Parts: sequence; structure tokens; C-alpha cells
Amino acid sequence: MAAPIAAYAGAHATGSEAEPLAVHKPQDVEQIQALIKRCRAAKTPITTFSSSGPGRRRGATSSRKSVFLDLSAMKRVFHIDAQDAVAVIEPGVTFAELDAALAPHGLRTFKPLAPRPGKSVIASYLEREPILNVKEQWDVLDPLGAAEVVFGTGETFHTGSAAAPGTMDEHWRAGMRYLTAMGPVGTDFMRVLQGAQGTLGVVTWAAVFCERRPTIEKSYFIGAEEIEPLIQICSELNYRRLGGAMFIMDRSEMALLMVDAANSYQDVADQLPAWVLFVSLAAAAEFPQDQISYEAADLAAIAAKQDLMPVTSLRGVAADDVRTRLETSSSHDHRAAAGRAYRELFFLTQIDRAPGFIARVKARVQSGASTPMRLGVYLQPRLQGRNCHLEFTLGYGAAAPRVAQMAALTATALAEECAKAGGLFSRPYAPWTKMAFENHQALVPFLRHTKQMFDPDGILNPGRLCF
Amino acid sequence: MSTINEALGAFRAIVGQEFARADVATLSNYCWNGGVGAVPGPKFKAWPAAVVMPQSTEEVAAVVKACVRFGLNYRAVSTGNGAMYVNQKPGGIVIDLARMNRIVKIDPLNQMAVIEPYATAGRLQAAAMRHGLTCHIIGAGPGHSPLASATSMLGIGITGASTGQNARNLLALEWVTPEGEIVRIGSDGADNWFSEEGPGIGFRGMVRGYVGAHGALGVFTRIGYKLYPWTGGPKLQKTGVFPQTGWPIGENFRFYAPVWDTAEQQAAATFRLNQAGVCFAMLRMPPAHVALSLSRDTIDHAQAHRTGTLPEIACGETRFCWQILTMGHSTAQVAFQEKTVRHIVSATGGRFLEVAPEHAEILARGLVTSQYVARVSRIAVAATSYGVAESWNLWPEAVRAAETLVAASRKAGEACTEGTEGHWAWPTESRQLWTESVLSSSPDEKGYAATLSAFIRSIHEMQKNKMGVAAFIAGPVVDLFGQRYSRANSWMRRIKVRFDPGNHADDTFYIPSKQSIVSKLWPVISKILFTRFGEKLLAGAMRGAAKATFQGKSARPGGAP
Repeated sequence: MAAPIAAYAGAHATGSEAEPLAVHKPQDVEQIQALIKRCRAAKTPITTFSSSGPGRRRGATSSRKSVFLDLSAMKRVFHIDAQDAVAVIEPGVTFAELDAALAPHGLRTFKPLAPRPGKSVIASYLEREPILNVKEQWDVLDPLGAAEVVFGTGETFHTGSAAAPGTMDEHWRAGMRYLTAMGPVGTDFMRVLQGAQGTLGVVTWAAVFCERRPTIEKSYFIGAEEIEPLIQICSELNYRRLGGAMFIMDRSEMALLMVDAANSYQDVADQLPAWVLFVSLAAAAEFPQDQISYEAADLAAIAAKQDLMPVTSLRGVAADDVRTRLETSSSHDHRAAAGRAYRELFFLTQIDRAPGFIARVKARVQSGASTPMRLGVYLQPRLQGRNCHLEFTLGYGAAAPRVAQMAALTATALAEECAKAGGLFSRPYAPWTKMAFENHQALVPFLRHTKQMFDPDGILNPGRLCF
Repeated sequence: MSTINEALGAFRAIVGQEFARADVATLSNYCWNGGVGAVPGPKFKAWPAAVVMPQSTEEVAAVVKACVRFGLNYRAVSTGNGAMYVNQKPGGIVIDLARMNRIVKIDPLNQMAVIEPYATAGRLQAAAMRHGLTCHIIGAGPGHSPLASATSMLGIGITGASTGQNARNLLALEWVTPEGEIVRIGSDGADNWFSEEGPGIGFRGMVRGYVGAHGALGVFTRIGYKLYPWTGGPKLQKTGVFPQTGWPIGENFRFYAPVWDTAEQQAAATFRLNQAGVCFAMLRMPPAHVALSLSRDTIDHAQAHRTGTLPEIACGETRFCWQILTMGHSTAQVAFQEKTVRHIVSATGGRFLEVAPEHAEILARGLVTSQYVARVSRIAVAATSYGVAESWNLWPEAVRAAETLVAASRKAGEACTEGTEGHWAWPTESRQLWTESVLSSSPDEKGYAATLSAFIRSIHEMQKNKMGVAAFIAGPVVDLFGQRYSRANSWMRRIKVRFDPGNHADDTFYIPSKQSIVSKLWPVISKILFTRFGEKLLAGAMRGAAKATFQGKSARPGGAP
């Protein structure tokens, strides 16, 4: 079936994306396996999609004609278990859909910042989008558990504890909950698939760890004119495993998150401190009031060391309301507020190195004063504080193509500069791909070996990464 | 022999005369097949041709390239906890990483360290504690190499509730490939060891799975490694007299020994304790091992048995017991933790055992340092089985399965596991069950055969009863049981062939280069083997393996200077 490309175009299409040869919307693993086998035989490329609706990030399609494999109709939630806080879902399940299914079980999803309504939970986790809850992310794989995948060879494979003999229902009846993502045995298949941008296989279902809905949740802002004191606070909170959702934003980025119909972006932004740390305290089932009390007291004591104070609202906006908003997928892209478009740039670093990158980016953006751009900064600690996702947005007037072009060029130049300064482009979407792999030349031949093993005919998502 | 001589010359040119050796006294240290991890085969199992001790990654790479050039098999060893980590193939080259022992960096703000292969967990922990941090220490104890554990082994330890497991404690890693290339996995750059991921593919997963490659996919020379919070002060204080050394439990800590009547009750409590996230460490060990941990020596232990003076925590009636250590950062947090633990234990039908302060101090020290192997393995040969990593739902079944196994061995007059089963257990990341059943047997052929047989049976039981995926499978055993794990064995072989086409890195504990006839026929054989009739066949085969271990001889390849 031929289909238009529009529904699959990314936010920053290059114009060279090829129309689909056909669009397949499979319902189960057998259909995916059959399609891959047919495409292998015909050497026809496949481009995979799990999320629906316009993408906010990469240009999602190949410049070669390919069959589009759209997994967004695979929406089954096979199992939910409250005791182990885990669900087993298909790739078409979105955050909003899974949250609705989880709510009666006292659970909710671990979320990245403001996922779009059609965002696939599995795709988000496979893409290593940083989640807001730092404390619960022990390892890069989290919140992924075991999974089923069809490799580019056409072989169906079960990763982690799902590889045990038997069916999913038999496993579940025996008490297994697919909590082990690693393995089986000497290969960590799920880790290999993560970040692969669909170039090795198609994940057809996965177990995902869920967050327990807190009995009590209280959110706070801590504002400061410099970022360094907030970094100190953030680090100590991570060290003490205090706080659930936690991140730092500059006033521009935070205002976009806070703004709603009742107030305008600029009004909010102008009144905010230069930097804001957002943190939620979440109490579990046992003595929640006791827990919230001591955590709030400890948070205040940690902030006081930097002569700062947590507050529950800033400029009339309650931190609890922001928390609620973070739990809701919105069709409205908060960064596109006030009719502005934007380019983004993100990479991994460590939290104490972030000020150096921020200074570097600010200097570059300010030096291009002839093309006014709004710089936004979002710092998301990861892995219980071991490293952080640092994201910059360059906002500009949506109706100015010249500025858009300048923003794209600036973002690319900044990416190169940040990579040279030690930023890790763990998710090397175009146009950062070439640059990201240039810094890992010794690894590239082994990545290509890996591609050849799992996708010997190179049919899955050609052109992505270094393939 | 001339090849060896030539190779030795090449090695000496790389590392210096003193650090490339082939004398008998040196070589014998690297082929002793005894103690923990002994594998079927003679006591001096496989004499290496030479031992090389590089001091840097570049030297390791040069040594590996020399091995490839001369067509030699090689095996890297760091701290080498046990016999399975020493040389396995006669005439191989041992790359001893003992000179690469640096704790390169401790980064307190980012809770991580950068370490080399021979930095031991004990040293790292002592260094980390000075910065308010600690590290994960696996069951092997503080003498192990966290780098080897994180990159190449299973890597799971007692404080898992708060320090995870080493497979997931790995950050960036430096890898000398099987053919001697130096490759960085994860974040790149001299001072950038903060991430193991990307760019793109999580390549780390190709060289380290649920278990590591045990040296079959090259050599790891430096890693970024996660550290964890510690509020017990910059130095671990001591109480008591060696070997009954304790730790004066700090004011931010509490030690508890709650007990329940059944495994089901214990599992129910564990779910709630995990959800509350209040425990720094939780350990269940068999009462017999508690007794061994608390006794000064074997005579002391025997006397306590004879006189009936074992403490309650070391008696079989209290086997569904947790040793819990909580750690707080503030007085209010400590109070919350105490209230929560007491409430959960009471609400799930548990009670708290009275533990003498000197005993609590010994057990608490064990929880912090993981100093157990020397204590609990001192009276018998020990093996392990039922490495189960899954939901706590499986805990009662894991206990029952081990009870059946031990009872069968005891009936046959083989096992000497004290008590009904030998499970050690803890919650990894305050979420997931980890348990393994330590099987003890007499240190003779019969006992050793029994543990081998029980080990094989336990993996079969795990597969049959759907208890997750077995942790303790390596080498030829992967070909037997890996077939039923989505044919993971075939992928491992593909990876080995692709990255090490000459098969130079020792594959003994990864995957054989060719699938054996037995493993090809295993689907049929296993149907026979795990029947009443088959039990005898299995026992016979294991007796043969044990005989080789106790009576076999291995000649040293002679001639090298």
C-alpha cells in the first residue's frame, strides 16, 4: 500500500527523505518476522516507526526508498504487576495510554520531559531519553526489563529473563516478572539494541519498570542567580537519594514549562531567577507523612548550605502544578510557545562540567547577535547523579527562514565544539552522526561487525548511525 | 619450543626481562586448580608456557598482538579469585595484570572511580570511605578485582540493596580487543569515564552480558566504576579480636535480625522493605553459615554444635531470617527507617531475634566488607547452584527446589550441606531477588562428584520450573543449556568468531569454538538424563569428572627458559 510521507516526517526534514514504498502496520510478531524475511530476500530496506504524530526530533526517514514498518498499532498491554511495579507492553503503547492502564494498580510511567502524545514508551526508553526520576535509574537500561525482538536476520529472540523456556503466560504464572534485562548468558542483547535507532532489530514487546504512585508528593523550586549552587544541591540530593523528579533549567526553559493560558511566557520568564532547580519529594506507602517531613527538612538544610531556600511556588506558579503537568502528555510542544520554533542540541557530561559547556554555548550564541535566538538550558541528572543530560534549545521566530537556517548552523557548530570539549553524543541523530563517530574511530569497525551480525543485509533503517 | 622462546623474547622486549617469565616456580602459581572455583581436572591443570606482567594498556595491547603473531593462546588474570581464573590451556600465555593496580581517580561529586584491573575492592572501599562513599563488593570478598567482576564475571554481592551489582556498575571501559587493538567503549577522552553507553549502539552488551566473557573476548584495562553513599566515617573501625573482627555499628546505622516462619512471609516482607527503600544491606544466609561466620575456628564451631550453645540466629529454626543494616543521612531519616523496618516486620508476622552485640558487630562488618568466603568455606568443598535473579515471587520455589536437591544428595550419602538448603539471598537494587544455593560436600571424589551433579540438576530444574535464566553457566555448559535460552549460545559463538577469528583469547569459560556432539544431542540426552534412570548416568559421568580432578596428572610443557 503506498502512503504519503507526511505522517512520518520529522521536525527538521532535510527534503531528501524518500516516500515509502509501502506502509505496513503489523499486529503481531509473526507479521514482522514475515516482513523482515521478505525484505531480506528482496534486499528492500525497512524504516521503522513506533511513535505516531509528527516527530519533534530527528528526520525519521531514509533517503533510499524503503518499506515503512509502523508499529504504532501494536498497543497491547500484556501484563501489569503492582508488587514488582512492572508492565509488559507493545511498542505502540504511549505514555498516556500506559498511565491510564497503570493507574488502577497504583503505578505510573517513568517519563522523560514532556513526551508528545504519540510517543511510544518503548521507543523512548530504547532511545535513552533521560527520565525525570534520577533516584530510580540505577543503570542506562532502566526502565527496560526483558523483551522480545526480531533481529534483522529474521530470528525472534527473547532477552534477559524472558529467554527462559516457556511462554510469557507460563512465565507469569510461575512468578517471573521479566525484571532481568541483561543477557541471557554472555551477551547483553537489550543493551546492544538500546541506542541502535532500530538498525539491528525490531522490539515487539518489552517489560518496563514503573514508578509507584506516591502516597504524598510535594514539589519545590529552588531559584538562584548562578547555576553552581544548584549543582551542589542537586549533587547532594542525588548522593542522599532524596527526591524523585529533579532537574535544573534556566529561566527561559523553566518559563516555557510553567506558562499556560493564564500568563504569558515573557511575563513569567522575566520574573524568574536566572536558574531554577525543580525537585519533587515522593513518599511511599509506609508512614508517608513521616517520610515527607524528614525529606523536606533535609532538603531545606541542604539548600541552606548554599544560602538558598526551597519554595512551593514561584511567581504565582505552584511547583505541584508543574509536577502535574510533567505527568501529562501534551499535544502542545511547550518549547514552541509563543509561536517560536527551535533547534536543540544535547549530549552527556557530568554535572560539575556543565557550567563550562553553558558558558561556551552562551558565548557562541551571544556572538551571533545579528540573529537573535532564545537560549534555553535543561540539565537532567541521570544514573543517580553519575552523569547528566545537558540540553540547549535555540529558539527563534517561526516565520523567519533565514534565522532558522542560522539556528541550524549554530546548533551544528556548537555540537562540534561541545564534542571536542568532551560532550558524549550518545544519541547521535543527524546532523551530529558523523561528528559523533569521528570521536570513536577505533570503535566503529566493531559497531559495523555488530550490524553485520544482527542485520547481515543492512535492511533495517539504512543510513542511520555509522551504517 | 622455538616459538615459545621467540615469543618470550618478544614479551621481554615489551615488558622487560623481569616481567616475562617461564620458570617452573612462577608458572606453577598460574595452574593450581584448587580451592574456590576448582574445575574438573588435575590439581596442576594446565601449565602455561609463560607469564607476562604488563604495566600499561599499551603493553597489554603489544603482548596480545605478540600472542596473535606467534599463534599463542592467552588468558588475562587480575586478582584471580579461585582456580577457574588461572591458566586453562596447556602452553598458553598468562597475562598477569597485577602491576596495573591503580585507583586512578575517585570523583566524590559524581560518585564514581576510575580503576585498573588489580585495584582490589578492599582497597577501593578504604579509599572511597575517605570521601563518604563505598563500593559494591561481590561474594568473593574484598580481595576481588571490581574491574574483573564488572567486565568479565557475574559480579553480584551482598550490599546489592544499595550498591546494585557490578554488571550495572560499569561506566566507560577500555578494551584491548582479542587481536590487540585498544578501543574505548562509552565516553571518550583522558578524563571522561562517566558513561558506558554509545555513541549509538550499546556496544558494551557485545562483550559483557548477564555474565562476562571470562577473558574470551580480550582484556579490559581500565574502567569508570560507580561508587555509592556511605555515612559510616572515613575509616572502618574494628571491634573484637581477629578472626572475630566486628564493626562498631555507627550512629547512623541500625542492625536487625528479623525472622519469619515461612519463605512466603519473608518474601511478602521483602517486597515491602524494598518498596520502602530503607535498607543499606539485607542478607539471608543459611543458619549453618551464620554459625561459621560467628565462630572463631572449626573447633569453636564444632564445640558450639556439641554443647548446643549456637546463638538463635545460627539455628535451623530461624532460617527465614534477614540480617538488615540500615544507613541514614540524618537523625530523622534513621528514625524513619527504624519505624518502617519494625512496622513491616510486625505486619508480616515476623519477630526480631536477640543478637548479642559482639555477634551483631561481626555480622554487620560482614555486610559492609563481604568477608565471608574464608569463614564459610573452611570445612568443606563448596559449589553453588540456583543463581536466580528475578522477582521475589520465586523465593519460596527456590528454597523448595534446593531442599529437594540437598535431600536427594543426602539420601545418596553424597552431600554434607548442613541444614535443608544452602541459599544465600539479597535484593539487588532493592527490587530484584538474587539467590544462590551453596552446596557443601566432603573434600573427596565422591563429594565433588555430588556437587557437580547437583549443579547440573539445578540448572535443569530452573529451566523446567521457570525460575528465570541461570547465572552460573559458562563454557561447555552454555552449549547445553543456552540452546533453550533463545539459542543464546549460537550468538555467543558468532561474536567470538567475529571478534577473535584466530581464537587466541582463552574461550574455556565462554563458549567452545565448536559445538560438541554431546551438546548437539543435548535436547535428546537431557530427556533421558533427568529421569530416575538418567540420574545414575549423570552421577556416573560426574564421578568420572571428579576422578580426573583428584587423580589426573598434567605434564608441564618443558623447555622454555
